[in-house]
Amino acid sequence: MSPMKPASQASKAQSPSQRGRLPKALRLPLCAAALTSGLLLPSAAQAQSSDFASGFGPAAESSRDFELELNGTFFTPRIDKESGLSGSPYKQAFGKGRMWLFSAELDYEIVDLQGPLGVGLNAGFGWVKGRGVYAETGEESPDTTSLMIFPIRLMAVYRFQLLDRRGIPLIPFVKAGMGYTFWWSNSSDGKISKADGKKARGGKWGYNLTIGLAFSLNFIDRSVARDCDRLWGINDTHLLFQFVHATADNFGGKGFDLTRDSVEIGLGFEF
Amino acid sequence: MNPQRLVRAACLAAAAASVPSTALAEKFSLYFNSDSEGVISYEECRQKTPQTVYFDCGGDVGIKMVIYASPSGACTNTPGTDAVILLSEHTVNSASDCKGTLSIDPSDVVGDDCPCNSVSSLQLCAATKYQAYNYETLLIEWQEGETVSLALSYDSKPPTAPTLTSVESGDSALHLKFTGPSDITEWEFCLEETGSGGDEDASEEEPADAGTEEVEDEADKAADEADASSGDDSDASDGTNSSDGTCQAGTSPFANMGCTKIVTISGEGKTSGTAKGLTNGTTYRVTLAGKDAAGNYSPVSDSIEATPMDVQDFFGAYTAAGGAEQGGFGCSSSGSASDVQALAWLSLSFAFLLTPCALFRRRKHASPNENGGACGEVRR
Repeated sequence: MSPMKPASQASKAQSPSQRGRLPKALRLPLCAAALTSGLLLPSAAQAQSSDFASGFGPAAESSRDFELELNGTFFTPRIDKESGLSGSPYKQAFGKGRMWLFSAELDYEIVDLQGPLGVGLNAGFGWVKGRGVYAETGEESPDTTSLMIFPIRLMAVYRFQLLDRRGIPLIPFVKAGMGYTFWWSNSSDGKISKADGKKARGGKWGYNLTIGLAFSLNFIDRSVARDCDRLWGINDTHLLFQFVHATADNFGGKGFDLTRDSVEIGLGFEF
Repeated sequence: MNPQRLVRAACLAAAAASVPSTALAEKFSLYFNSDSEGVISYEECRQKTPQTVYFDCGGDVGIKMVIYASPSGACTNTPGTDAVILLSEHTVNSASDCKGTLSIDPSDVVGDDCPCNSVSSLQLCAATKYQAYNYETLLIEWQEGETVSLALSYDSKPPTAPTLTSVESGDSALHLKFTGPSDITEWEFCLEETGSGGDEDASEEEPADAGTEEVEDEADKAADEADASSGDDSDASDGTNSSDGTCQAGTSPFANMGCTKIVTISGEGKTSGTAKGLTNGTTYRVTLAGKDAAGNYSPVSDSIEATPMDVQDFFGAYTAAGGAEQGGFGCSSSGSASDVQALAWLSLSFAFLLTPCALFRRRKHASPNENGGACGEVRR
């Protein structure tokens, strides 16, 4: 009868083959969960992670090539500010309803200049729902109406990581680039609205500028962070706060102004 | 002991061992097909629409089975005196005998009269016998196996009348809100044009009784015609019967009304829906009836009149307010550019940004000094 192996030996025996075994879709949430739970319960996370990490050899960080961001925000488009508009159609339809926007961004890190400089592609989906009004009386009707956007942005990204490398877990970053925002508006039957023979769909070019601050969650528990890297190749997990100025008005052209100035909150994963 | 008797006992025991498994309860099954829930409606009873029941003995051969309807609801191995035998004792000799269908005439289980406003249920039972060695008689004998049952019901009782709570005007549509008993699985709305345009009409609500009466009168007339052709002369017994005894529950109350449009909303517990495809400015009288799973219609609800009206959605309101947006894709505000043009612009931007990146990256990886200097990998 063979004796039972200690837990640490068992984990050591499994560790080389564990990398990549977990489904990719679960890696990011697990890393974020592990690190954010450390934010809430540092001592518990510390104890668990030290056990978990005990089976590994000395640290050897994997390469950093990409950053994935998942962000959310809400804002009010500048539609009612269009010159020559009588009344406030956005407010009339959506009231104080703000447009929710969720986006994902993938950055490719090209060069390290005290932090990575790279290019990023961001795509999002935003929507707001409201009610139409009776043409005759102007009163609110039960018919629904909606406005949706699908913004795509291509930009240069720079993250200044010097502070983080010296033990201060803050990473200021900037982004600048071009974007195109698809938009469409539906009536209550779920079809694209029409008015005066025009279909309510189109797209708007614009530029975007972003300034933000990332808080490195690795700072909370370095051993969990090391595990995230060794098991899944995720070097760093960030809590993100960024101010985005993204124009979507065909550079001052006529019509809808879907420009937004919004504060986004999200999570970032560097891998 | 007599040696001959011993040999005989051994032979019988060996034979018994070869008899198929007796775990019939787990294998034997009775079921309806997916379309039927085992409910016979009034119309099915009246039209004598056969109900199909499937049986499957799970591959057990060498058993006997009997299938019967038990009005008392008890399923015993031997059918009771009130049982209606549907499949008399049947020996399963091969796998093909094991599966089969039974066609049940509703009148066999409900009776010929198909009563109105009635709910009854019975059990379909399958009892089995199998061969086993009897240690007392030293014989292989047929012994009682398990029984399985399947509920079958007859329902000609209509649901109570639902309530049409409100009807609101929409653009070429009416928004309906309603409540009703939980056994209603389908909601039918009769939309009857009453006039055009007038706001007075739109706000006018039809007196409830008058609306209902009209529906009943029309329905009775329809039932009279139907019975005249079928020769049905059963007696009227309750409020759901017409004067000549035909059960009204199985006939849509809107069948012979002047409904311009009938809108059906399916689902138990629904409380709202929309009637679409209407004409703005035309007033409609809306009446509701519910239908249960057995196809019985409830009495109709009170009527409400409403008029669909032109509604401005967001883009309509924007355009009416003088907005300059023309829709379309591309840079021009006139919207003359196409989707293709927009995508081309985006692709060009990508190519412009990504090509130098890719070239730079390739050169970096080709460099022997891979980790050194600003051109090294992005590492700490």
